[in-house]
Amino acid sequence: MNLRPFLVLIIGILIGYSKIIPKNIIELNSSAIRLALFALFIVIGIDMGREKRLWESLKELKSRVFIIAFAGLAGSLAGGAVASLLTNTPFSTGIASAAGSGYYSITTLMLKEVAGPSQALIGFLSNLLRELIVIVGMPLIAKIWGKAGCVGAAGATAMDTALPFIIKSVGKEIGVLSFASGVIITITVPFIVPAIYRILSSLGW
Amino acid sequence: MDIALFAIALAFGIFIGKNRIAPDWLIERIDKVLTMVIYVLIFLIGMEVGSYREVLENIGSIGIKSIAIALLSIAGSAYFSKLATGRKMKS
Repeated sequence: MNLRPFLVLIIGILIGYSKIIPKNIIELNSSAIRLALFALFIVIGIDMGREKRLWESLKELKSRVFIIAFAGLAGSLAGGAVASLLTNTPFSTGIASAAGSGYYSITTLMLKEVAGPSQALIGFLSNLLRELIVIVGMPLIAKIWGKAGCVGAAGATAMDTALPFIIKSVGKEIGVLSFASGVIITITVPFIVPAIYRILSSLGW
Repeated sequence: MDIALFAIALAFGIFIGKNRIAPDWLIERIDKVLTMVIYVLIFLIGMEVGSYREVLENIGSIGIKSIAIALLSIAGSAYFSKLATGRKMKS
């Protein structure tokens, strides 16, 4: 299991907390993050563009994969709404974090941009946990919700980290569908997370 | 707006990747570049979060909220995806 992102975050937090770095440099941090974010999007694009089988698999699957991906996304939003109610979290933070669908890096960055540090931290933890729980709990998810449930639960991670575990739990024939569903969600997350946060917070939720 | 700029950056990247405009050695290793960029970003975000001390003082409640969001979004997604595909996907 990859805990490196967590360690890197903690090191960053400790350095920020300790105030070792002068304030005027920390203030530059926001522009550095924005710049790195643009670089990240270009790199993600190159990574997607070079995968020929990605575009071919999308053509093949057509409507079924979109149904599974968007139903999964809708389920995340519903789950986020319930979690918000249970834990007394603003809907904007809870639902936007849930929309992250396990794509913790982008969700964290987007929430940092449109919301603030505490929302970003919730976005990070909830999505990193989602990735870990999905991987560990895949056999159980398969038992309760079947093949489509595994793909939906994995969200954005259905294309990479969760893919081997999905195949192990429900079989190889789900591989292409899982991958394509993960791709669709991965493309959607960077846009839907800030949009949901902005809309809900403008409504005062 | 920012989101439009991100979409343009993404489309630009896809264009480069599809047409192999960048050198091959770079395109072949782009997933490693991606991992590095993500780590740099997580580190920067961590520093920013850490510099707001009041955020860390609420880490307990933030942790509970995050666990609830993770578990319920998993259950919601799994249930909705199963529902939407109906009997076709039954194993």
